[in-house]
Amino acid sequence: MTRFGMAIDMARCTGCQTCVVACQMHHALRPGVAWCAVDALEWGRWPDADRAFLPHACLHCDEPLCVSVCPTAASHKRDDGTVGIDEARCIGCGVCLTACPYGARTLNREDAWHFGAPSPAPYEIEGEGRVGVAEKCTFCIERVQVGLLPACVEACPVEARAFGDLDDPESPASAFAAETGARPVPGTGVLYADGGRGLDIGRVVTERYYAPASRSQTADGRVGEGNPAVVAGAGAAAAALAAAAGLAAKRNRDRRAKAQRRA
Amino acid sequence: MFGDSIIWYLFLGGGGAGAAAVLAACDLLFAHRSRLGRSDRLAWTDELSRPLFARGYLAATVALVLGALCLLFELGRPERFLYVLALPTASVLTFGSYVLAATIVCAAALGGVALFGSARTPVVLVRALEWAALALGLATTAYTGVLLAQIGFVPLWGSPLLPALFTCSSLSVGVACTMAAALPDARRAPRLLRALARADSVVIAVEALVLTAYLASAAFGSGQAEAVEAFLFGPGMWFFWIGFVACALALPLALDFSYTGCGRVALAAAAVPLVLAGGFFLRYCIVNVPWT
Ligand code: SF4
Ligand code: SF4
Repeated sequence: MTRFGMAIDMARCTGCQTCVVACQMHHALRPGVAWCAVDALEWGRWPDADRAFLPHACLHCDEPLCVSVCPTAASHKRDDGTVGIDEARCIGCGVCLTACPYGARTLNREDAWHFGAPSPAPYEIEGEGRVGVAEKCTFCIERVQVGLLPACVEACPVEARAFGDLDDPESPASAFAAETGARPVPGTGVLYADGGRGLDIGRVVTERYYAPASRSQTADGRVGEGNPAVVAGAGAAAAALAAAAGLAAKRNRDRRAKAQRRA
Repeated sequence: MFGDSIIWYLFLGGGGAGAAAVLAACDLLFAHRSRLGRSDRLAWTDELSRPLFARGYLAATVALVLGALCLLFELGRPERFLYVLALPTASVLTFGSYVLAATIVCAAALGGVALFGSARTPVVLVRALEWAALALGLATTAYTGVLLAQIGFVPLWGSPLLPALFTCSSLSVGVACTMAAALPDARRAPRLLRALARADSVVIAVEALVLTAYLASAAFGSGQAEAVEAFLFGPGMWFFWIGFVACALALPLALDFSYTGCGRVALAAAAVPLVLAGGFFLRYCIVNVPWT
């Protein structure tokens, strides 16, 4: 059976971002949206320091959590191993964004066009429905189905990426992996060769790019004035005091009234 | 993608469903016991009144609807919200949307019966609605936990005890709501309020046990000791200790005990908002668990 996948060699990647732009142009992505990213990793201290570029996007997981949480089946896994999103079915609930361990998904709410234009340029029409819905790398399935390579693979000037059927040992992706020593991120359809650095790519991507539930509230931004939680807490405490004080006062008054009546 | 509104959704949805379940359970218990002889009856159930149910179910309905709206307005495509019901899948959110919607219907209908019902309202219908409200309410409270538990790679989320914890918390919020609904009649119905306060302490005690088991199993069972440590002693620790442990567990437990002891209504009244705030902060802490 076909199981499409991609192999990436970090030893070759120069961090030029050509793949990012090729993807944005090919899919007519809205301003600010990128389905794939190339990030610089740096660690250590001179002379024991290193730097590497990490191209990453949806890893087309074998058993994608994004698909099993989707309430409308807009996110789906195809027989060819790729994970897709039917944007006409997506309600934009965003559960899949929290469920994707690799931060691969975006939900863009802004109905904007490049250069502030009020309407899409002719080459931007494809992205018209992509507002308020989840989106991510599709492995360029519409190109692959007619025998072309994904846009990023074709665009890469140093051939750091290869694409093909992972179940076929002769496929370009398998051959590339054999040549570069790329190993799969466990449970996914993407393989990485890290130039002998011994990185745990899946872990690195999760740690750096997972979109945690509290993305809007970083650890230090949490305890600020006007933080809704703090306000709610203070409000509840005040309400508790007020409720107790009010009832106590009413009781006292009733008791006094009773005493007066008796007197 | 979950932001602050998911916390409100989990809190209002869970709490409202808990309240509906508690109210339904009260009336079912009354109906069941009233068939027995006088001596076997629970004295406090005689003090259940229509205004109590009207107030309680109304509050539950409002909370549930507000909770649903919290999720609805966060959708990227709010106009497509019916897809969740119309294009059902085997997902947790689909299940939750169905049971939440059905709980709203039951709570609203029972509120309507309490407000406008007459002797001609068929008892069978009311009983059926109450059983449905109980079952659906419990399903909704558990669902709010499963929604997070299925995203198991997030530290502290992937535990079967999380739905149990959320269920306990929702029931405690539900009992608190019922206490609030019973407060205006506190003088006429002291035994009812006392029974509710007792129920509240039992639920809170169970909740504390489940919390301990939940954290212990995460720390020692699933090797998330670091995450538990950051949760208990990290930068957000006071939300947990003051917001949840003090507000939802320690203080209401003390207040409920002193109320059942001395009968000062103000004590019971003070427990209610504390339980509600504590329920909110439990969701706040879990949704915002720190990454280690
Ligand atoms: S990487 Fe994320 S978006 Fe892609 S298949 Fe896996 S879970 Fe889904
Ligand atoms: S945002 Fe869209 S694709 Fe993601 S879970 Fe919701 S409906 Fe499914």
